[in-house]
Amino acid sequence: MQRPYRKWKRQLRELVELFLLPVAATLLPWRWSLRLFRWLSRWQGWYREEIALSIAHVRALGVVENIDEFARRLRWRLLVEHMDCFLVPMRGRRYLQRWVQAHGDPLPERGPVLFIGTHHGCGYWFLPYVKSQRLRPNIVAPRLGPLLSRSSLQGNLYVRLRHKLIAFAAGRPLVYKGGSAGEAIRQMLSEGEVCFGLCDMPTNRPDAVPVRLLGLSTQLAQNMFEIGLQTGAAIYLFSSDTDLHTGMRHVHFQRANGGSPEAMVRQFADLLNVSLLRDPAGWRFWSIAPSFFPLPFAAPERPDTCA
Amino acid sequence: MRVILTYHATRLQRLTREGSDLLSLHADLEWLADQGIAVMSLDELLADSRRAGVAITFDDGSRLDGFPHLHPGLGLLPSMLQVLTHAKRRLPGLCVSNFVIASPQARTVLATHLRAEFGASLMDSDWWTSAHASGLMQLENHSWDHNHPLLQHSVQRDNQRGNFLVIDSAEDAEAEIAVASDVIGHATGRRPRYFAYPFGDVSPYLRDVWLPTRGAAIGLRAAFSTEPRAIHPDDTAWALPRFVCGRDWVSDKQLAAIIQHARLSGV
Repeated sequence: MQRPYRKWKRQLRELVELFLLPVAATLLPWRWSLRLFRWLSRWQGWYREEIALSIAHVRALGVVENIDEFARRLRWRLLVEHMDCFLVPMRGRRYLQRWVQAHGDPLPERGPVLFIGTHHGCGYWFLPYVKSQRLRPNIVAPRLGPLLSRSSLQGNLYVRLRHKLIAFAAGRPLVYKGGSAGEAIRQMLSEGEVCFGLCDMPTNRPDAVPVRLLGLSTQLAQNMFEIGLQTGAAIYLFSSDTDLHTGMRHVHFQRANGGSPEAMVRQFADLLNVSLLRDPAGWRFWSIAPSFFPLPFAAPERPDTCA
Repeated sequence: MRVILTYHATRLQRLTREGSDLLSLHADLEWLADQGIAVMSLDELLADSRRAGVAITFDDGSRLDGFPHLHPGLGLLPSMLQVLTHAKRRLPGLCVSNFVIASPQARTVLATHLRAEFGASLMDSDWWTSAHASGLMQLENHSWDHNHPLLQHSVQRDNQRGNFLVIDSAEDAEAEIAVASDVIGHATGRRPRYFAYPFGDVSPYLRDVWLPTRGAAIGLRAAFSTEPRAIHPDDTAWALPRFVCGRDWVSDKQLAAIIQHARLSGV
């Protein structure tokens, strides 16, 4: 059992990491907060649990040469990402024009459109950007259930607040589903809506497509792509990232083509590989890497969460 | 079986394996490691005709080879060097020969023409020393100015540009090859040992006359065309063949066919 002071210490740390520092940083000019985070990232205490797990996994997988540099960049990115959660809804069109740069294929003017992104980089800026293009994406999220109520008060509050902020950034409320998110997305795309999903999720679906991420064998679900093709939606893959040197946020769109869902999953893996090769520390899922890469870990059974 | 695979970092149409040499290089190196095929430097591959393996070369030497890059159309991209760094854990013998253009003026002209497609500073040489120091890349000679058609003036005596077959005199060869070796050697501290013919154009004069007599004196050991086949023991050292990514293969299956054919033909 945790001693009370350890519990309080941890709760205080969560309060600072999740609320106080990110909100305070939004009050600074972006260049200053970026520099502040760079300086703070030298302290190894930030997001201790996630960083420790991520380091253990990348070390076991042998995908990173300089572990200390990886950990520092991961801390820097987590600091930026937690701030962005609050910053995105607080900044308007002028900030978007100054700091967010979009590349790649032009976007359609109306739905049905299915955007499929990754957990690399900070994806928050995708939302205000597509909103500025008059495409307001529906985001399907799992109902906030009993698992969340078992987390700390700070964690619970943070997730609830983050959902509200994401909904504000997307320009429409989140769609909460208890059962199959896929059906909800299919329904909305059939009605000509715009939907959004992240597809680099662990999966145990039998029809998952074998791919390689940073040379490591894994598999990704194809059901989102199937739904997109079946409903006749335009499918756009996207990646987003923050250039930690200039502070610019970059969103890259690539229209998926190739005809089959399998080919599209491979294109998605190509896009993710580009991001991972550039900066492995940008991926949020090193802390759950055993769910993707079974060796040398024993992967736990997890429900399919793609779509 | 001795095979040389060549990549151009500037082949960047889309962020897919088929559409970019960047992702092709990443996938090909993983495939070669899976197959247990030895990947080695040109020095090692050419040291012994009985040696079996693959060497990797890059052509044109752009900044995309050495530094992560912001591409106007494709966003933030990793460098080819980052791909090599990642692959090195499975391919300990990996060392790439990168054929660079020596003339700063020629590189500036080329970068200016390609600015819209690749952004500024595409052909800067600021990555040369760090790439060389990485131990993963050796900088070699791709001529003084590529005798490129985009240049107003080349060092070719009649200012004929657009192919390398017109480099057919000692004077032109000195200006295009010997001077380039001096400049690259001065910049990196290591004289180039290899020369790649721009456009893959093998000038008979260079292959049969100038390089055999003058090559060793300026530090060169071999020269490379882009003839798509494996190296044969009877090949002259001054026009060794290479396969080119995008032209000769874009998938594991096609690369496997190249390797298989080289093995079956016993060269």
